[in-house]
Amino acid sequence: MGKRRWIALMMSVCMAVGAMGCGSTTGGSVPAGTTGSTEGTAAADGAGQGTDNLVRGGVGDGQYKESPLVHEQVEKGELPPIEERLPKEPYVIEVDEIGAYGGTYVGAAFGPTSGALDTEGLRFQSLLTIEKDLNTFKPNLIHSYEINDDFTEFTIHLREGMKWSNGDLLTADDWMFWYEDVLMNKDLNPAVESVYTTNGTPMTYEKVDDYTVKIVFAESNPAFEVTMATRCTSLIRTFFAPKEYLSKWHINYNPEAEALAKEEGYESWVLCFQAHIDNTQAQKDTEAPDVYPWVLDRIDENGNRFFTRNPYYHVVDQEGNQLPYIDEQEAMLVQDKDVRNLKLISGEILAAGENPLPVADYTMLKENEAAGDYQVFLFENTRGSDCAFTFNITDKDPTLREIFNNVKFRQAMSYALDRNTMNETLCFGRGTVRQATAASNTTFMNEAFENAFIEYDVDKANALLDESGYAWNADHTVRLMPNGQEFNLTVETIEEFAPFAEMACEYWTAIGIQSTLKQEERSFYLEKGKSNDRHIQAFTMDSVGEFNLRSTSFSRLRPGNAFDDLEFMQAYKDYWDSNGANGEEPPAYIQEIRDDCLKFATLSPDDPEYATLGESLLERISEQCWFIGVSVSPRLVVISNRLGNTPTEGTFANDYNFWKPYRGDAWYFKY
Amino acid sequence: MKKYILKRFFYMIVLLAIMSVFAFVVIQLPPGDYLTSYIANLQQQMGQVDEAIVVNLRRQYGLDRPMWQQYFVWMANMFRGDFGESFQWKQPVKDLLISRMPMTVVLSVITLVFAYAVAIPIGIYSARHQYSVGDYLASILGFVGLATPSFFLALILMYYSNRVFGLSVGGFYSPEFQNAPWSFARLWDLCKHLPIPVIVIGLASMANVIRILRATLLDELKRPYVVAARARGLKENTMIYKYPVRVALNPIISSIGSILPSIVSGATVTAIVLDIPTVGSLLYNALLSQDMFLAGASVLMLTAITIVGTFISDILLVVIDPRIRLQ
Repeated sequence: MGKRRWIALMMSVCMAVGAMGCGSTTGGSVPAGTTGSTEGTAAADGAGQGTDNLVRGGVGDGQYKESPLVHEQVEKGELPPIEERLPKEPYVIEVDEIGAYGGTYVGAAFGPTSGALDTEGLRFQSLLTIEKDLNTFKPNLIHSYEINDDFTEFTIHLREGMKWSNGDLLTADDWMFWYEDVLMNKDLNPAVESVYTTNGTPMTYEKVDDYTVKIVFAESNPAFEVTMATRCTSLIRTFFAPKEYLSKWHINYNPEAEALAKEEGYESWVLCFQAHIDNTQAQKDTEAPDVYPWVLDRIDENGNRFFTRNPYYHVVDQEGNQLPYIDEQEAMLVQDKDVRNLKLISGEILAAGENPLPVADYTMLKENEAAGDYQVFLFENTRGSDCAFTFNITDKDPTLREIFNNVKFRQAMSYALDRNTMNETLCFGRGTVRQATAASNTTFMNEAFENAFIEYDVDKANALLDESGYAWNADHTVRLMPNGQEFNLTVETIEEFAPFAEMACEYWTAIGIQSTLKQEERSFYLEKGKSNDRHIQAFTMDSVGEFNLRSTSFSRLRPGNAFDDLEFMQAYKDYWDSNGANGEEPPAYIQEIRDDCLKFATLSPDDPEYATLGESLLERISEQCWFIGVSVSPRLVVISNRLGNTPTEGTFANDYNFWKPYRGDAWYFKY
Repeated sequence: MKKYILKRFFYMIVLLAIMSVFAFVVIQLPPGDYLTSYIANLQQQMGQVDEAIVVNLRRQYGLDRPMWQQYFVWMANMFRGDFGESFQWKQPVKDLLISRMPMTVVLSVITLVFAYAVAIPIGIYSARHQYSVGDYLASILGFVGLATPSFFLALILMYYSNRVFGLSVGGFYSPEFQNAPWSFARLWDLCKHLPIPVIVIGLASMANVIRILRATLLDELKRPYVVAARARGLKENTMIYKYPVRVALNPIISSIGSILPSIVSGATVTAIVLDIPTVGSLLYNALLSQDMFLAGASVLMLTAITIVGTFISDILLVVIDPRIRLQ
């Protein structure tokens, strides 16, 4: 039994006892005497910590209104009036409730430069929005866009008068600067990411006028729309960068850039420039302008990061109040997931949705809803299976390779799993039992694919193995491989999925395929995959929502693209990656599936072939039974009751930083 | 005596040099490097990571150079006081260690003083009153302290301190004092947060000290010199504290060598659960993410302190125990 589960169990026991014991003591009888403890006390009372100075409705007599805090700065002359700060046509969104200005939002961060999406996911913005249906995109950072008929030209119209958070004007020059001097600069960016290319050829930018840019691809790229809606933050930023601010660190604009870099303590201008342009969670430069609702303000010595309101943010609500409503964000560093749970319960952290928030914590979090003044929601996710198993069909061991290539063997292994019991034991019955394939809300999904080979049928499994000629040994304890040796397989995985793999091994051993679990350290596990040294792997199968399939050529389901953690045809992958120089040539039927996956990426959803090809691909992949799934459990999302305009249902996926469709800029404090 | 100290000192220097190589190599031993874990992290948060990003990053971090080259650059910089930059924090390692050191030491020293101040009298008491009610109570406390997983105790205490006393969860300060300038209110806030880590970390070592002290003191009390001292009419208390207790403290003093590094690193697991920023939890995360300069510098520092600690305890032993001086 895993340590985590044990802790969770013990914690729920102790919480239950706590709830009983605390009934009489907490209700306000706690001395609030000493300075500074009042906030914590209030949280413990269950009333939540109130925020002072919440102001409903913005200040201003014109068309647009602003936060009173910003208004003060305008009156002091520190900022220009709101009409000059907003673009000519701001982006107007319809919020459910007009919010109050003020407050500090706090989310957890699991590392100093990563794991802070519960804060940062609320501020990241892309060119287009993803609406809650996950299928509609609306222009956000840009005014509008047109696509030509064959999806090779995307004409982008910028928002006239839109400004960076330092007040600089954002024009086509910022786009050209990013493209010519950053993306295509071999020193800064030796290799161009594949989302900016078609078939290896990078896109090109053309400046039409100050507020129009044309993006041209060599080949048809309908998925670029998804790219525009999902890409936001990056080590070199995305689509555009603040030219005026960054020029002085760039060698093309400042011949003294090398000297400047040395002065700032960097080895070269390249490293120095990279440090200034980076706007990921590892951003260090607190001066660097951005276009997000909140921008990095300071990092304290413990690594907590604070983001302050961007007074030039381009979005207003239907009544003309400039967003965001909330003044400040904090990404609070926590070292452990149990600490985050306690901080949620104590009301110190206001929302959580990023991993790891396992479904096993559901009961404990739910029980403490009143204490923490929050609500727990169950969201959908874009997983194919919480844990999937794959068998290495290009295994270095010829006997194993032969076995793993036998589709009947893979089917038998799938029939052997009692998924309902696994779901009950490991996910407390909250998961949905299914085969590992595309996410269930995919438009061309067919139930048959989700239910392929998933019934628990030991007889069928045994029959398939008998047919394949894997006879039992004399004692009828274990089956024999074609070379006469007893089956003794190793399932490799990391700590997180060990409980699933452990149960699977038991089921497989029961049908004569003796299997043992080998738990490995994450990087070791990944390295073994890359060098084709794993036999059977167990890992989560994420990122298989429809927009993943659209934007990345069928995502993980594409042969050779199962990611390092689940890859089961590494030798073929090497072949494709090296254009045939390394690895092994794949058989025709696999090559065909892969080619069709790549073709799928060039189809737009309006194309009649889109759904047909998509379904046919899912069918062919499902027949192969390459991925053996167990179940998909919902994602826990915790949101404080103090916040308004927050979602109560939806889908969470890492591709859009979880929170993007749920607009953090429109959240506000009710009290 | 002087020769003995010199000899020990020389050994210490040699050991340190060898350990610097080990510290560096050990961190490089696991497969992959910082980027492997960084990318695994990115993958979890943002989906698949493009191969192009990996190439770009590897170059940016200088991880494409051979290991021996990296070691010499690292060592050379170290002599200039530059411990490198932490990949994970994007901050100089020196700053990171310095910012965490004072609180780590404060916490550990308070814990140590607390543990010894409670444990030594209890240990002496239980030995002198063997099989009394007090002895049994002390033994129970000792065994409970040894047996309770500290991270679990930490979680329970944290939960109740929040529910009953309204203290913020974990850390050294409440959120509003985190970045406030020093004031009495902040000091008081710190004082309110210290008891939990002190008790949790202290309990385990307290239990240890009680058991060791009780066992050795019991042995000593049966020795003929004790009988002789009593026979000569020495006052009981004077006799006990002057002779057998002094001998019984011997094993506790020799453990100072191993206590010093734990003072600096702070009980790692407990620190993580309690969410207090000590050097230990910093090192733990650095090792997990293969943040090599940070991990290397921390490991090296801890080794250095262990070696110095052993050196000090060797000398202390000589001072306290005349028998060692003679050998």
